Amino acid sequence: MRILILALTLFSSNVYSQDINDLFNQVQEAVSNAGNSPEAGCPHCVDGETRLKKLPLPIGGRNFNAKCTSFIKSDGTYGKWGKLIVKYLNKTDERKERFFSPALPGMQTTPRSCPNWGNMTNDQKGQFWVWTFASIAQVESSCNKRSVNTGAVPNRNDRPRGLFQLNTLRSARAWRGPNCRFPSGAENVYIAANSIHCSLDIMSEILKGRSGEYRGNGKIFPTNSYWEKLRPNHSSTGGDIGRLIRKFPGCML
Amino acid sequence: MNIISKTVLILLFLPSLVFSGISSKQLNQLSRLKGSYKVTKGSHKNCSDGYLNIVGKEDDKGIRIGHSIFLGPFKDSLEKPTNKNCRVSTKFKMSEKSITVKTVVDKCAIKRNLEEGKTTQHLIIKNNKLEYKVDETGYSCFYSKVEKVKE
Repeated sequence: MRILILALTLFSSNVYSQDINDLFNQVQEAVSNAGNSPEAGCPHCVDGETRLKKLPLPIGGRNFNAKCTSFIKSDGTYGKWGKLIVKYLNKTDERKERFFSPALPGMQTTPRSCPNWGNMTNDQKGQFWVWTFASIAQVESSCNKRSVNTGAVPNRNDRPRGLFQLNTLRSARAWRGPNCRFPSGAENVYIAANSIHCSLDIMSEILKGRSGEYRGNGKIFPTNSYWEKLRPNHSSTGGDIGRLIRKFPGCML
Repeated sequence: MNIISKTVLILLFLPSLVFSGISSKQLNQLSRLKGSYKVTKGSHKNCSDGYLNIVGKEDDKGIRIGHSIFLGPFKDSLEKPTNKNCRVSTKFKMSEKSITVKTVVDKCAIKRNLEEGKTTQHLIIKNNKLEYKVDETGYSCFYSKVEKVKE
């Protein structure tokens, strides 16, 4: 790779040394952030087939509130909110590449959010993401779509609300993604589809890493995240959200 | 139209000219603020180190500091009330050393959500230091520009 670049340099008067150093740094960063290469097979398939295994959320105690079954039902199939998430993820090639990338930072590398990531199919990764958003919603709102932060907030007109504690005012969240531009108002944030789609846009931005708006490391956690509990100063392993995510059976080796 | 009518018309339109939005020159001035900021003093736990950036598309463009603070949009705006949401009007004003965004939420169809009220946000710029404050809650954060922060 370096020989090729050197050759191009000799034959091109427009390549400056600064650009080459930037290129080398980007290649090095990409290599160090890459996960393990995927292995063949489907270790979590049922009866040797490739059908998706049904993995229900554990309900009660320090696990998920019963309301979270709108993400994944008690029989392990997707609830209405889970279906919205899977539909979003599969809508474009760009989204599939971003959310299903075999080398997402932090999945198999520290903090090992999903050690089995490299072995999973896209459908299984879709299950992972539904489980992940259920985990975030559990911690942010106990999966109560009408949850509101009634405590001391900087702007009383713009209280965090809903499944993922988003801004009430459109103006305050419109920049976070195209799906965050729905109208202002508590009742609009309480529409689960609005909150879910906006949160997926936010997560997409997080996964972009340094090139995204949040300028993070591309990991779910710990990272420079909209959700406070996923930030490094809160916990290196994602706190309660990370604890719930790691319960996803599909990620276990 | 006589001189009195013209004067009245000008006076009526003048506030909207002052509050009509941000100029290219002002946008360039704000762009020079981009970078990492560290909290030096704050009245609330939401005051946290963060990156300042100009964000959003044309009508939604504003300034964000970290995750919790957003001032915008960079123009007066109005969301009309519906059976689901309130009327939301914002007024934007910028001088050489400060930005002020006034937000009024009223005419709410559903009163129980406690959305109505007024918020006045200020961002005061002094060299590489910033002060963000909200009049109605007394919330304030002081920032100093640094090389890099962990948000």
